[in-house]
Amino acid sequence: MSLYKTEGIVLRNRDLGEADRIVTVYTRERGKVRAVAKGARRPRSRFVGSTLVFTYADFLIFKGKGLDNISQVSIIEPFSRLRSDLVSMAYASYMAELVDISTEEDEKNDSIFLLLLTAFQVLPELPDPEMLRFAFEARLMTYLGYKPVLDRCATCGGNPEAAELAFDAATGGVLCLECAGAQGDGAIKVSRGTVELLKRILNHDLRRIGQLKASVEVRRQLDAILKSHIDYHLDRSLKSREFLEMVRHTGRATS
Amino acid sequence: MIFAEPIARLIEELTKLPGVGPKTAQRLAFHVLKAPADDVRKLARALIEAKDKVRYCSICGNITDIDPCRICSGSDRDRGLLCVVEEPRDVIAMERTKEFKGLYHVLNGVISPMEGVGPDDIRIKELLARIRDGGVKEVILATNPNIEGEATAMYISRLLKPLGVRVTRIAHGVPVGGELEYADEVTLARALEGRREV
Repeated sequence: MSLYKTEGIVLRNRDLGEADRIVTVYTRERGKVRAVAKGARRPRSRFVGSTLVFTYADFLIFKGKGLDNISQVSIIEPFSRLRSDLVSMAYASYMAELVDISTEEDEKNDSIFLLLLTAFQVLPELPDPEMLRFAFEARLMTYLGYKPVLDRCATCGGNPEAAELAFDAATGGVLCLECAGAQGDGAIKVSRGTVELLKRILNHDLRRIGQLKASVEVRRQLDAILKSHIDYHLDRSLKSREFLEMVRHTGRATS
Repeated sequence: MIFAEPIARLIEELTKLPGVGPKTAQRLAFHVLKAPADDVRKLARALIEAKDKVRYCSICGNITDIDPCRICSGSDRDRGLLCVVEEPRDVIAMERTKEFKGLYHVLNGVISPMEGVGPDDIRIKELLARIRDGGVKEVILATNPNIEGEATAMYISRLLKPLGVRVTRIAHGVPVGGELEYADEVTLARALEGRREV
């Protein structure tokens, strides 16, 4: 039985019983944490506005026998803009779900916490957040220990100089076409430019990610390889992906 | 078997109700046994009738025993006003205010990206059809002020704006009888944003 204080970002909410809410928070000090906000669904609860998804706050949590209980919340940044625009909301939901399904409780990871925090800060400013999403996906996978091999062929170790390459999540990254041919159908054809862009995305300052530009075809390839990489390693379906796809095509419209 | 077979079966069925554990089920079962036979028959009939007769209104989607429901067919209702809510329970909440004299549209769900519930899973198509049929001047979006409700409201407003109908969102703010000191900053910011001249 003890109290602990931690700062974190709310990833998701789940209803519990009549008026309570289970809040999943990604914290700086303890990684993913789940705790009950008692009465959070009652209009006059002090938790009602402070445990909304995407909120960045200081949490005081009581560690009990069963589920932990949130005893106090003070908001650092509500990230309201992520909830007031459909496109931002779709991207933020996707990022939050990705972190939620890929991490275990009580496993601290500073890099993931900062990645999520920075992404949420940058997201509402971008006219088209797609590049941010690519960067987020690639970095999250890297921090989780699933960094794709990009600087050589993942099978033969050869230097990928050719203009045409392939990507295979099961093998772990980029393949030269000869090795990809031996692999069968699993590999996705990509251009060398796509691989180079992915390398840049991994090192580029997230706050300036809007500077990076890419053609429609390169984006399509990036989308495909990151998707297969995530699906292969996490092996979980992302519920928010479909919604993101739908919203992405309608574009940003502030209403 | 401790209980006689019919009692055991009753307890088992009662346990399926929300919030009813084995102990409560047992208490309820024994209460039924002690109650006058007439009362028990009434209860049983009420249960069956509720299930058999209640269905969704073909216009608004609210639960009703007659179709169209009493609100949709009411003569004292303003047909130019349409209030969009998530659940039938919300209709009852709105009706309790006695302030609203328009019609309702119950979505029977809410868009939830993280639960994989999309616009096609709730009654948005039906809403669009109603607006296209004409007559509605204003649509009030009264979904809950949480992330799913906001997403649903934003999505619907996008679809409705081009149809030339006025789309409004219910206000968010400090609860009546509450104190500013205890209001959280998000709610308070929204209250400021939605302030109006007195």
